[in-house]
Amino acid sequence: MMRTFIRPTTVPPCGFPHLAATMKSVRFRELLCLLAIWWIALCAAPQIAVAQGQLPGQLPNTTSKPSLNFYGVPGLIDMPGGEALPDGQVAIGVSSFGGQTRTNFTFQFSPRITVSFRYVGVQDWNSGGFGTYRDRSFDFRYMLVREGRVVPAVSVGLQDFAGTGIYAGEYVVATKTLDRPFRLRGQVRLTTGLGWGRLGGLGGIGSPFGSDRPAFNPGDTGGEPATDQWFRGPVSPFGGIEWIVNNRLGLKAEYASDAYPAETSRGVFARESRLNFGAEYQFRPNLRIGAYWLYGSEFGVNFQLQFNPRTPAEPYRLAGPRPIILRPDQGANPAAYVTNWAKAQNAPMVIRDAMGRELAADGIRLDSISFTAIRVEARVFSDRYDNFAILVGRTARAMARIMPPSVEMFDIVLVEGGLALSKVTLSRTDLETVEFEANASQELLSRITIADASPQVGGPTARAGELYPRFRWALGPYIQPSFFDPDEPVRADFGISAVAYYRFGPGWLLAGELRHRLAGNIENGPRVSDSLLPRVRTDALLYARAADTAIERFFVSKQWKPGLNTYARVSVGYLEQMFGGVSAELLWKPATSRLGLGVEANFVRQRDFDQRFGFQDYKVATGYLSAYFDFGRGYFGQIDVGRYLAGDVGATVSVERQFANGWRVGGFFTMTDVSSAEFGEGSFDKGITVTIPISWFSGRPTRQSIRTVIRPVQRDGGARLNVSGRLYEQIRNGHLTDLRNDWGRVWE
Amino acid sequence: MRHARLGWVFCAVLFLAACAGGREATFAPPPETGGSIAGASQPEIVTTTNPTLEVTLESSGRVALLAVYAKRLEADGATLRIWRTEDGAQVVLRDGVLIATRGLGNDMESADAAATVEAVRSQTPASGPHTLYVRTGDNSIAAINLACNTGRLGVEAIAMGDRASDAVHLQAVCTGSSYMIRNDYWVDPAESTVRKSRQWAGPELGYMRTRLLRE
Repeated sequence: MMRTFIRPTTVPPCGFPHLAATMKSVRFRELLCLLAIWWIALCAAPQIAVAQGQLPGQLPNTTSKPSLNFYGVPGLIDMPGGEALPDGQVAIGVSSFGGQTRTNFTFQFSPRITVSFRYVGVQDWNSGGFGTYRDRSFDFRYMLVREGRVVPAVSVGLQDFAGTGIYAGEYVVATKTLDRPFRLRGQVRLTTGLGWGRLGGLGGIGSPFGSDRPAFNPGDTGGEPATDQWFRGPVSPFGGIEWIVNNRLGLKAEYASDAYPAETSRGVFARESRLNFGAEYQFRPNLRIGAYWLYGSEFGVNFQLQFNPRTPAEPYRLAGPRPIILRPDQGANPAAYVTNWAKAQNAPMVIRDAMGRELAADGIRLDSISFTAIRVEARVFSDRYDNFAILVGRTARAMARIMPPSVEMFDIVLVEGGLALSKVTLSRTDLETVEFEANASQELLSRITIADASPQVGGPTARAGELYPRFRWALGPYIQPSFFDPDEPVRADFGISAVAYYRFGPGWLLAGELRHRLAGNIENGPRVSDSLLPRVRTDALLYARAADTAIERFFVSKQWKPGLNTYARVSVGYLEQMFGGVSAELLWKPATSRLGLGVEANFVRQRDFDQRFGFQDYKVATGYLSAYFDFGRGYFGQIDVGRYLAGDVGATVSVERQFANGWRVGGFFTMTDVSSAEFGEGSFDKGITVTIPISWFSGRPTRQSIRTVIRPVQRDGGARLNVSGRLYEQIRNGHLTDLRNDWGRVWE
Repeated sequence: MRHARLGWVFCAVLFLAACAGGREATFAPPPETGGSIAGASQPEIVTTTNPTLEVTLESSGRVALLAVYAKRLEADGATLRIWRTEDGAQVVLRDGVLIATRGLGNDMESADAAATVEAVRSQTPASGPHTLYVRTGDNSIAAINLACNTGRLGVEAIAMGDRASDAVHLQAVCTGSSYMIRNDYWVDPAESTVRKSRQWAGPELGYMRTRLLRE
C-alpha cells in the first residue's frame, strides 16, 4: 500500500521542461564525458571478465558482492547499479541519512530478476498529518545483459512501482567491473545510467517517452502498479565509481540525479550538492557497513547483510548410517536364498518388529510392512526428517539389513499424516553396488522409480501396533507481530502457547492451541477498523483486546486418500483465530505430475472476540478452485479462484521459490470484485511469504520451520480462511520434484 | 518508536551475523603432549588389537581415533573400509584413498578416484582424472573435476608409535575447477597399505591427515 501524501504547490514539477539550449548541451556533455571515461578505461586497463556466477562445480559462496545502495539493491550510494545479486541471495539493508531510514529486503528471485520490499521512515516530515512519514514500496529489477569481457552488466529497474510512491522512479543502468585498472590494486566498478521519475529529478536531458508524468493523487488509495507513469517525464543521467580496494574496503563516489523535492521542501534535510561519497568496510563475510557524506550536507550509514539460503548458517550434519550388509553370493550360497521363510505363521510379526526396531534407531516409524518372498513394501513416516530422501535412504538400508536374502525389490512408501504420498521402488542389488560408486546419488536416482502409492497397503500385512493413539504436546513462547501501523511500525504480542495433538486413528487428528498473552501492544493501536466490507480481518485489534487467554484453534480433522492420486480432508471446529466451522478439501495430484488441481469449500462463522467457545452472527460460505504448478528448478505457482471471507469473488496468484533445504520466498496478490475504494488503503491484497527451516540454523534434522506472511496492509478484501492442514502443503515434499531435489542426501 | 524498530532490525542482523560461519567437527580434543591419549574411553595404542585410524582435520586442528565399522572386498580386488568415530562421523577409504565422508557436514558424498587408487596400489607414477562429489547446503551434489598426476617422491622413514618403517611417498598433484591440490600418501611397499596420508576432502572440509595406528 502506498501512503498518500499531499504535494505542496510550491515545489516545481519533476524535471525541467523548459531547459535553455545551453543547459541542455551541458547535460549531454556530462553524458558524453561519462561515456568517454568508460571507453578509455576499457581500452587502457587489462581486463579480466569477472563472472558474477560460479565456475562450474564450484560451491556457491556467501559473498557480499555486489554491494548495496541506500535502497537495498545492488548499486552505488543513492543510485542503483547494473549488477544482479548471486542467484537466490537474500539481502537486508538498513540505511539512514538526514532522518530518513530505509529498511530494505531484497531477494534475487532468479538469475536475472531482483525484487525488493522496503519500509521507510522520514523524520521531520511534519505535513499532511504525519510527524514521521512512513511508506512501503516494492521494486522490480531485471538484468538485461550479463557482464562479459567487454560488455557491462545492464539492468532495467522499476523503483517503488506500485502506485503513488514517494520513491517512484525507473532506470536503465550499466556497470562494468575492471580488474586492476591502471595498475591500481583491487577492482573498479564504473556505473552509468539513465533515470526517470525520482531518479530524473536533476539534470534532465529530455523526455523521450512523453513528458506526462501524472501528479501524485492525494486521495488515491495507492497500491496499484502505475503503468501509465513508467518511463514518463524527464530522464537524467547519473553515474559513479566504486573502487574495491581489497576484500575488506571499498570506496564509492557518485553523481546523483535525485532532487529530493518532497523532502527538501519540507525541511527534512538540505540538499547542497549532487555528489555523494562513501567508504564501506566488510565487517564479516556477510556484513558490510558503510559511512557516507551525502548531498554535501548529511552523514549517512548503511548496514548491508547478505546471505544465501543455499549456504546454511550451520552445515547439515547427520551421524553416519549403519552399513548395508551385503548378501552372500547367490551362486556360491543358494541355500541362503530360500523363500519358504515367507510362509511362516509368525513371519509378518517377526519382520515387523525387527524392522520397527531398526528404523526407530534412526528416528523413523514404521506404519506397516507387507512382503512376499521376493518383494517388500514398508510404509514409513518420521517426525524428524524434513528431507524425504534421507527417509528413503535409511529405510532402504534397514530393509537391506533385516530382510532375508531372497527379497530383491524394495518399495518404500512415504506417509504423512496418514496419507501415502508416493512409492519409491529400488532393487537391492543396486543398493549394494552403487553405494560407493562415483556420483552415487545420481546413479541411484537413475535406477529407482517413483510412483503413486495406493491408499491401503495390500497383501499380507503387519501393522505396527502402537501407532495409535498418539499424543503430543508442547509448551512454548509465541510472538504475534503486527506491522506497518503508521503510529507504530512494529507491534507485537508475546505470550505462552500450549499446543496438543491427539491422533487417534489413521488420518484422524484432534488438535488444539491455547494462548495466554503476557505482554504486548497490539491492543494499544488507536485505529478501529474503518472498513466498508464485513470486518473479517480488520478487527484484529478487538481480538487482541478482548481476552488474555484465548483458544487459538481447536478442531478435529480427518484426511484420507479416496484414490490413487487423490487426497481429501475435512476439518471441523474452531479453525483459526477469527473463524470456526467446517472446511473440506479435495486434491488431485499424482506423485510424478507437475500439476495439481484442488477444490475447497468452507462454511464458517466469525468467532467471538474473546476467542472462547462463542460465535458472532456473521457467517459466510467460501470456496476455491485451485491449480498448483511446479515449474521446475524450485519455482512454484498457484492460482486460486473463488469466494473469500468477506463474500468477495476473485482470484489469488502466488509465486514462490523453494530451495531444496526448505527455504521458501514468495509473493502473492489477490484481485476480487471489490473496488479499490471499497478495499481501502492498498487497493488490493498482496504480500510476501517467507519460510525458514530451523535446520538451516541448527544443522540438525528437524521438521520445524518459521513461516511469516508480510502484508503491507491488512484489509478485508481477498481474505482466505487460515485453516491448518491444507493438503498441497502436506504432500508436496513427498512428490517427484521435491524428492529429486533432496536426493543428494539419500546416502546420508 | 523508530529506535525500537531499528533495534529489532539490528538484533536480527546481529543474530544472523553471529549464526554465520563456524563449524564443529565431531572430533575429540587433540591428545595431550607426552604421547598418551586423552579420554578414558579411547583405547591405548599399546594394548589395542583393533584396527585404529587417527584422523586430523587441518582446518580445525581436531583429532579423532576411528575404528573399522565395515569392510568390503570389491570386484577389482580393492578393499573398502568404513572407519567410524564414537559419535558417528565416518570416513570411507578405498585402499587408503579417501572416497567419502559422513557426519562432518558438507561431506564428500563419493569420488571417482580410480586412477589414484591404482597408483597407490602399484606405487608407480600415474595420471588420470579424480572427481570429488561434494554435498552442498542445498541438498545437491557439486562435482569437482580434477586431473591428477601422481609422482613417486622416494622412500621415507615414518614413525608409528615406537616403531619406524620405510614407506614410499607418493604425491598426487591435482588441478581443475580453479583448485590446485596436493595429496600425499605414504605407502608400505610390502602390502600396499597406506600408513599415512594427507588428502583433500573438498573446499569446506579442507585437508585431512590420516595415520594408520594399527591395521
